[in-house]
Amino acid sequence: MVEPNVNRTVTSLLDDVRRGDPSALSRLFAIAYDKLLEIARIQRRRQPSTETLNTTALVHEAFIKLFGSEALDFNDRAHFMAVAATAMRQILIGHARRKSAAKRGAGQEPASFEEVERALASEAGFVTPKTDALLALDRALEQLLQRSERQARIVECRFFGGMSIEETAIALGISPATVKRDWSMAQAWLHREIQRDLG
Amino acid sequence: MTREPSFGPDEWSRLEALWETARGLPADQRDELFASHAVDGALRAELESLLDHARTAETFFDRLLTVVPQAGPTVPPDEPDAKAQDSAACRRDARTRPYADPMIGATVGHYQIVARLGHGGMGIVYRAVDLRLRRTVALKLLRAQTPDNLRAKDRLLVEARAAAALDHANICTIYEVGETGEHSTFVAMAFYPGETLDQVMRRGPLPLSIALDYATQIARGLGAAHERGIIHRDVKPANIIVTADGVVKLLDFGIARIPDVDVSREGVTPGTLAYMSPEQVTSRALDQRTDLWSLGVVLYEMCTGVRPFGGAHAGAILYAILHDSPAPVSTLRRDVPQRIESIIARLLAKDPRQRYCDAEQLIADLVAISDVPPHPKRNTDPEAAFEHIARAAGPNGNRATATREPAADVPKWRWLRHASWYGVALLALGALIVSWPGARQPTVSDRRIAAEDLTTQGKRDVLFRSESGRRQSLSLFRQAIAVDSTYAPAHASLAHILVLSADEAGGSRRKQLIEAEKAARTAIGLDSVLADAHAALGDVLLFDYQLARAEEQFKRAIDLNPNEPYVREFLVWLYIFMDRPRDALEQAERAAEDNPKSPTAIAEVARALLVNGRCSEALEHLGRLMYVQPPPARAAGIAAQCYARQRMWQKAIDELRPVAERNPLQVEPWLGFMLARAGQTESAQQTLKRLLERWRRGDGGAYAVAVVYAGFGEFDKATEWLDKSIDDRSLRYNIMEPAFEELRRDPRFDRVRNRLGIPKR
Repeated sequence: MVEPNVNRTVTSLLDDVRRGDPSALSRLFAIAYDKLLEIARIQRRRQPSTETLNTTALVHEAFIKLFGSEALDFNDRAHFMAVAATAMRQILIGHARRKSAAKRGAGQEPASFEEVERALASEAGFVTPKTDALLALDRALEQLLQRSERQARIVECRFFGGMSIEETAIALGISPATVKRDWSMAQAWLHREIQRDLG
Repeated sequence: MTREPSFGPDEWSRLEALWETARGLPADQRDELFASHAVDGALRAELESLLDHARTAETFFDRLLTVVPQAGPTVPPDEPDAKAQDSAACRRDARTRPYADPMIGATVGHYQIVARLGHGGMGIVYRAVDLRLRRTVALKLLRAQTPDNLRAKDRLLVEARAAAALDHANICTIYEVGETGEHSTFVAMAFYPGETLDQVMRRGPLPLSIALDYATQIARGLGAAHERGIIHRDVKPANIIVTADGVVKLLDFGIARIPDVDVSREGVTPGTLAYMSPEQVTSRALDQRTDLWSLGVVLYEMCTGVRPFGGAHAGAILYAILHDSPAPVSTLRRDVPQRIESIIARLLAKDPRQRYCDAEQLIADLVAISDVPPHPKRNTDPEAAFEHIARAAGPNGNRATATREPAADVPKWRWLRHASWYGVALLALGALIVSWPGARQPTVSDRRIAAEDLTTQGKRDVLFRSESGRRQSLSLFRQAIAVDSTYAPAHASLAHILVLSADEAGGSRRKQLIEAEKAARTAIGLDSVLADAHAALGDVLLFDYQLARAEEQFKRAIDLNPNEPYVREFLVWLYIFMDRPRDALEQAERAAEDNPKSPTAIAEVARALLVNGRCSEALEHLGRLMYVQPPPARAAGIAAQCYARQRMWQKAIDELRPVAERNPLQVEPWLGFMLARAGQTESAQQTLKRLLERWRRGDGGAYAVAVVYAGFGEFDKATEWLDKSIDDRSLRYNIMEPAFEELRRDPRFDRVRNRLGIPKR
């Protein structure tokens, strides 16, 4: 499964990213993005019945495919996953946008916050409210980025990358306690903004 | 979005600094904190507002996280009439929002409605919970009654009840058809997580291997219904569910067959019309071949992605069905082999007489193309099959990857042709999806529901099933384990069925028992207080002649659950084996007390009466079971023994003959025995020859041969073969039944008795 050349490339890219090379970051991002999309598509073919997917599993699979299972230490792994989390966010939001456009085209109004909450509570997969909630989350995250880049990055890692508190802490070079506090506060803040946004 | 322009980076840092402490405090103790840190004005308002949101935010994100929509190609907007059973695929109707549906949360009968799944021609389908059995069901509520459809409802009930009797892996199981005062009629069906074929096909044509597999499964479901004289009449993709592990389920059996709501009379949508046969659209008499036409349309669409008879309006579709030949499949898709093309052409023959006569013929052709044996187990060593699954499901990533490659690239259907057994391949794939660390994991409850469902289906009447029925159960239990390997009852059931079908395993009986023991111990390991798990182990030990240890397990099972079905029936066998006829009768009577209507319990009372020498009472009991023709093999076998005891050999032969064909392995030896006794030496010799031949081929046990030799009174040979039958584990407890009485009195039998550890009375 591990493609040797790619493996070397991504490992050295990771080094470059750590040294602060912005072009390495964008290249790594592109690789992660393509790999995630590819895995997501394979999964969709394999299990077409599912509307949701396990982002954590996806990011991990992408990691294994790019690096092999033991090729990297915990540090590198966390750094890669943080990049993959951003890629994951773009993939999911892109998908939600397309889906939402199709719904709007069919004359459906965006869901209200109340509808979103009920949809989430009902277990059943009412897709539209969830899509709307994701798009609202994306908009709110952009706002959060203005106030605290760190919190926004934490949300990306935790929510879109399915990363643990520890992994997030390593990837962002902060303490786990900070991650915990920021994650809790960011959730409250985002929740409020999403509610205001959807009305 | 910035609502508080005065709120700068400093304020944000102060919020962060205060966050942890403030969150930890109850609301009424925060004032102190705010005062001591000089938090007021906008900052205080902001902090209070965020704290207020913090309470619900975490749940909100947890839930949102579990429902992140799947990335990938855009799915086209759903048609409003989509009829989905999958909660995940559940769609919001543009007009009526499901959560505004007053039925959500309502109780109908003993079902509580949870969510709306979709709506079809006759009513709305909900996901509901069966409050009694604590399982998820799909509940169809029929439209409110008007005088017009009252008659329709009556017919519906008749039809749905007929359909409820259909017990087949490819037919949606109907649990109950009922009525409630307020909500009129409902149908409770099995809930299958998955999506309708029509949703599957919206993503385009299917890989040929998959299309053939689905068509074969649909044909199997239809075949089972046709055998019972039930025609579906509304076979279409929206009525076909594909579960998450690729099992096809036909929905709405019989429900279509109500003239008053007949599709041809009202509201025919193109989605329905397009699948109707020429005889159906012209309202001529219908037989099973109408379903085969519809299946042809579905197969065509699966292969090409388009319907063979299309048109902008109903009239055009009608005309096309009656007069047009569809474009050859190969013009739309190059990789379709000629043989698929001819199957489709034959299904879509305008004249029903030129179609296949029945589903069986079609299945044979479909199977021939895919190189798939018609019965999933026919040419497979179950051991190998199991290893295959185990390997795929195993923790070793590399191995899983090796199997995974072809799976990820399904269109190369050659891979399937190379698989020794197609069913195994599918199961392995299922197991793989579950085990592969990167795959989207179905939720635990999804898998558990599916495993429960498969196990329940497999267990239905399992003890009275014929050989092919047992094979079906076996594969259902294996699927259940592949879906959820931690579901103990599936392992226990697997152990039982492996023991019960040990005779069909021919030469690998012992291997099968080993596997059964493994399954039983796995079940106990997963749930040590599961009565059925201990019963299963007892069952294995009984057939491995470890009689005392078997008794321990059965008793443990009864301690754990005095009502566990079948345990006392196993005890009857055990006590007969141990030559304790009175204990056997006691257990049989208690089993029948617990389950007065259970046919197996009734049969075991008869058997126990038989070994206690009370033959006429036994026959009286059996009379309650013999009203069906042919009668259950087990009942016929006991009756034959009763007659044998009274030396009425011909009557015994008459009992056995009708059931011998369907259960050759169990019945034929005894038929040979009776023939020998009756002096029909030539037929008996032929039977003996056949059984010897079977034994040489490794398909039959030594016990079968011993039984016929005993019939001939050749005790030397009989005991010699009984010796062998202990070695190959084919000897059965019925060695202690009356037919062998003479042999048992012979000193040559002592050796057998000693080997089995049965004390001499």
